[in-house]
Amino acid sequence: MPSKDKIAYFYDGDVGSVYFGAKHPMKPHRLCMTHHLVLSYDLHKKMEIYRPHKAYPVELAQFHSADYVEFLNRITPDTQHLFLKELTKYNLGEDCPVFDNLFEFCQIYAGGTIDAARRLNNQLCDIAINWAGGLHHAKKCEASGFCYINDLVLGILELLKYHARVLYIDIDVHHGDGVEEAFYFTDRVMTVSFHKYGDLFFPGTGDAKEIGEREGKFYAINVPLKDGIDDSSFTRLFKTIISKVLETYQPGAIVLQCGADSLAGDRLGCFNLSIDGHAECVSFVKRFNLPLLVTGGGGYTKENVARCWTVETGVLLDTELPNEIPENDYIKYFAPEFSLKIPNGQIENLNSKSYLSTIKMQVLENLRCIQHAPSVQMQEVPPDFYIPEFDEDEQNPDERLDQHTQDKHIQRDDEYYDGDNDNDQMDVS
Amino acid sequence: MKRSRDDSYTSSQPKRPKGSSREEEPSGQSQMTTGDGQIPTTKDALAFLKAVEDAFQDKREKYDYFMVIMKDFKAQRIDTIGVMERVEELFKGHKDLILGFNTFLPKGYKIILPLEDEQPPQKKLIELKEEAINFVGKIKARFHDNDRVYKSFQNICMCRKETKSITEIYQEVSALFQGHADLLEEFNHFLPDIPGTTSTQYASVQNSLLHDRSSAMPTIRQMHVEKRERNIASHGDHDLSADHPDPELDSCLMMADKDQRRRGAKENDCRKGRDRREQERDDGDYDHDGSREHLSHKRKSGCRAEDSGAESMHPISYACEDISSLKSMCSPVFGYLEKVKEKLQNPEVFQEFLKYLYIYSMEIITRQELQSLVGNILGKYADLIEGFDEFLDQCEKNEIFWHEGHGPKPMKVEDRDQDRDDKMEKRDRKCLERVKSNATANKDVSVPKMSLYASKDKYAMKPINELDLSNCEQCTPSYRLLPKQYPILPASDRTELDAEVLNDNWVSVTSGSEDYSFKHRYKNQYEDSMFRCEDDRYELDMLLESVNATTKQVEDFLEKINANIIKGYCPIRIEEHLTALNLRCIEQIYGDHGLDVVDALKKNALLALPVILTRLKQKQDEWARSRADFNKVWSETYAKYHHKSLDQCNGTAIAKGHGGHHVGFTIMNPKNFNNNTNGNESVLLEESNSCKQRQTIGDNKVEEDNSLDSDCSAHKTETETFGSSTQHGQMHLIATNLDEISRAKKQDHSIDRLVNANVSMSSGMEQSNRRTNVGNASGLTATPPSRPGNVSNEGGLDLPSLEETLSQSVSQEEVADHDHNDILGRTLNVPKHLGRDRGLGFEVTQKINVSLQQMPLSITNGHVQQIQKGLVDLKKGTNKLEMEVQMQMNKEPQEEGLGGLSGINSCTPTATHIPEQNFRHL
Repeated sequence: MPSKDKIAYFYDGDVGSVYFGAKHPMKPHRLCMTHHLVLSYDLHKKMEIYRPHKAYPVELAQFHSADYVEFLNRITPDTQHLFLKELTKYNLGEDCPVFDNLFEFCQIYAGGTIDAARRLNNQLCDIAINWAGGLHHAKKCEASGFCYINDLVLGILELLKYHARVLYIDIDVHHGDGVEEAFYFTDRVMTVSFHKYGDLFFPGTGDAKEIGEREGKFYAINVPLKDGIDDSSFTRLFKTIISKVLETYQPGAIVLQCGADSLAGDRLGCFNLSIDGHAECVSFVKRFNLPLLVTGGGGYTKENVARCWTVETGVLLDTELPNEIPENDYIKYFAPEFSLKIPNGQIENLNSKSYLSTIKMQVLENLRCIQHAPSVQMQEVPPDFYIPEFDEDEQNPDERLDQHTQDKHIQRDDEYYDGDNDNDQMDVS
Repeated sequence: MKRSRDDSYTSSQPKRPKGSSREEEPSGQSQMTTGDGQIPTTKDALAFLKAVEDAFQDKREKYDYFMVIMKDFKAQRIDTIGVMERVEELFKGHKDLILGFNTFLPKGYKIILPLEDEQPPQKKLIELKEEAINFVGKIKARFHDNDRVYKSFQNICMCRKETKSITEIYQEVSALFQGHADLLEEFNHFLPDIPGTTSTQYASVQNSLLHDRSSAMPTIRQMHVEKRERNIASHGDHDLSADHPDPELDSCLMMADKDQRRRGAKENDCRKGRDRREQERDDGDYDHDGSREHLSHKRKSGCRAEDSGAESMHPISYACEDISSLKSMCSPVFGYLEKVKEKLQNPEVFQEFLKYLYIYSMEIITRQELQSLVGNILGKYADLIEGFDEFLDQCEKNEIFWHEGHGPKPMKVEDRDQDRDDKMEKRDRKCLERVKSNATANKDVSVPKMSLYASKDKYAMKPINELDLSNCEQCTPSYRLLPKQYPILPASDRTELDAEVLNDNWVSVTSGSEDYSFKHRYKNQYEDSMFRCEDDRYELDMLLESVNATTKQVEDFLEKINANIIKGYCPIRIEEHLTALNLRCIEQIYGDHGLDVVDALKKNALLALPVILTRLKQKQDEWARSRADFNKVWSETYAKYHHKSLDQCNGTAIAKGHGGHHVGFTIMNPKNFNNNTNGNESVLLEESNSCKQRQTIGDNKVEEDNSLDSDCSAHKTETETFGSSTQHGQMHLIATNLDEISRAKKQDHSIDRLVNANVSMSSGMEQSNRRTNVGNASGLTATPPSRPGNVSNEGGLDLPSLEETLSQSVSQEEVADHDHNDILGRTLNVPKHLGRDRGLGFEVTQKINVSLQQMPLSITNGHVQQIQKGLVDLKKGTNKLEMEVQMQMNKEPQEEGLGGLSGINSCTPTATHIPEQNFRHL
């Protein structure tokens, strides 16, 4: 029997229309490629599709300063030359350029993560996916590393309304410094990040000694890695640490950031992970059957990003995907092999067994210092800020199946008939 | 006194001859006149010289000779007797001069006018001297045990002339010589004669003689002593003058000693005076003159001795003075410094004080500046300020004293002083260093304030990751506490829950850039080429997508305007209908005039929109064609560089990549490949056409079955797909074999396949577009609108083979148009670096067209083939023959295979094939 997990998928096509600029490695268009690949494999039939609401400035200001949010809302490429000081203050420019529809872009991906968290809170779904999110570098009042609004922090804040403890796992090749910084002094959020560290690699934080402070001591875990780590080493280390974390911390919900720049062949990455190795981490976390919020993140070789996130969507749906990529608008990007498999990386693996063993022992030692899972005093659950309601009165009575109903419909593998499709076909014949 | 003199002269006259006594009387008178109570003086000497000069006015030489005699006597070349002899010869005939000269001779010496008279006085004088000396010796020997008596006797003799009479002297001597009658009798012998008594007179005469002799000898000795005392006194005077510049205790002590000596000298002077007077009275002119000369001589020698003594004493005294003065000068300096240190009670201030002294010693600042600086420090302590001037004065004295030097001992002392001075300098330097360190500490204290002040301005303008937080508190390697002055931006929309868990004060310090800092990873040129192709494709896709979106929006906008003609006349707000992205797209299309067009659009939308829509559609088509063209180039690049980008791998990986490439091609494009194969078969062989017709019929049957049973149709569909893939695989193997036979043919074949693949990819693109559109709309593939499309596609399969041939010719025409469009696209949009690639593609296309055109002609019949072969031979020569041979070889295996298939099938396809062939021939 296949799992009866209900999975919610959040996507808005407008997120791929924004353009960071010529030669900028961040290309939101990768999300369109991912979505088209998901559609070509018919994965959309097995999960609920939602178009996220555009997050309101008040929602974004739950974590970010109001001035910063207001500035992002008003700045445009035509007027940025008038606010050079503010641009410098908020670290906009270069890595984080100002482009058309910048604020709408932030609203879409942040709104997706927030909506995903709310559905998890209300048990409307078991797993929520928002590949547009996962921008983990953004700080309270400044942008950083291609990230403007930290949607992960906002999502975790929503989850904390219903769950005493939330676990954040980050497998992007860059350290999840924005999320760690936000929750560095609290024991209600444990942050675990597997990342490349050293050689002045951005962001330059994430040493194993960064373990949190005060109430948050030992609740920030960093696994610094070196160049060229491969599937077997990474998955073994990941499983060992995450299983121990879940045993010790017993979180109520998990947020998993699946940055694809840790794959082999990424333009800005330096690991040798294959798509199978990367997806194995997702599969491992899913087994714990906890409310799971899955987001995207980095990833700068677009075709590999689309391959990876499509495979991981299949993993969450317990669906094995054929290796041949079906027809879609972006089939040419997958030339010449047109395959889901990517070649293994050829970077020398600098992570020796002794080094990985040392890191593992250090992490486990820190976990041992946690005597028990921390608890929170019973308190009233704050109300959800915004739950979009679908007005049935707006539905066209002449249309048997409207778009919304079709989006929510899930086709089961064990069903014998296609339902209305058969009727339509019979009518035609 | 006068009486005693007269008596002495009277007693001497009886001894002498009468004549001589007469001559002597005037000299005695003159002597008495000159000797009236006074010693011969300089005036007497000058008068005597005048007399000599007057006497020898006519004979100047004699006068000069007289002066030479005096000089010789002064230089001690001749003695008194020598002088007397020469003067006697010189003054012959001038008795008055001789007598006057005698007055200046010392006692006991006379120039006697007659020879007989001269000799006896000398003998007498000598005898008197001897008797006097003997007498004094007796007294001294007899009173050996009691020196007081002898000294008293000397005192009585020296003081007689001045105050006491002869009687008194006799009485005193009698008291001293009690018990010694013989000494008293001898003494009476020297005493002068008393007038009136014969025996007494005789005894007195003897006494006077003895007295003269005895008095002469003591007088001489006393004169020596007096000279020495005078020398000492003059030495004392010299010391006094020397002491003035050095008023020190040691000098005072020396002065005291000298004063005592001086007093002694004065006493001696009194005695000397008395003795002289007695001598003058007793001895007369000769004795007096001689004694004077001796006195002057001894005085000079004494002066010399005094000078040498003074010189020898001087360095020692100076050395003593130096040492004492040094001690006295140094102790106040150190004492004063200690006082300053105690009263200031602040080491830093004291160090500043020492620093100022050091600067002054280095002559950097003047004394007035030093005083003002020190006044600031010591302002509270008046006594220290007053003492400071003395302190400086003493320091300056030390410096002056050190510059002076006299002899070895003072040098040693100076060396010691220099050592001390060096130590002082070292101390000053150390103090200066301390002062500097203190100043540095002060700077350190001030720097944070400056940084805080500056940071207030900085905070407003810089992001956190650019702040200098190195001085802030740190808890883990990269977390810093924000400064207190940093303005924490408020997050007013936070809830209580958010406030509890979020962190506002500690920040993690990031470094580098996500894009630009990580560059040490090596990428080979092939990988970079692939990334570049990907970027170019992405850029073109973005352009096309934005144009598509904008076109759609504009069309909707125009429809709304047309539907509401009345609203069209009202001012229209463009922003409500078109997004920023749409406007940006329009701006880009018009290039330099983009802003003008947007302004025109905002002013008058009704007129501008249709024009813009036309332009948008034009660009849409243009860029779509460009994308199709570039897809060929990019595919070629991918094929070339993909396995090379993995050049770091071993051979096995390369082989796998290559194999995967081919397999992917075959599997991913089964239908397209099938179409391609069908075309080739129809062109090359009639039998292949008949086979395809049957296949088409079979497909129709399968579709009919699908309408009855969906499961059965699904199953059959899968079977058909599997079968077709199997057949195509076989074809692939055959092609591979052909490639193995001929490498040149292999290249051509690969080119053909590449081109066909491109064409098939483009057609596949269209199909995928349709499917994607359906998916975008409903998310479901099986929808009623898509069914008619599928049916129409299936119906298309029923077309006859002749129509397929026509469609192929149409496709060739499309290729030609495609090339034309490529040229246009290149002119308008293609970058330079891609133009070259495009040129290569064009050449490939032309070659393929030529080869395709030649194929149909070679198949009609044997005769036509022979004619064409001849033409080809005539036109192009050997190469063409080789190509034909290769083509024939390519045909034979296919014919054999297909022949086998045709054998299995019925004869109907063969009949169909023959009519078509005839039709084409006609």
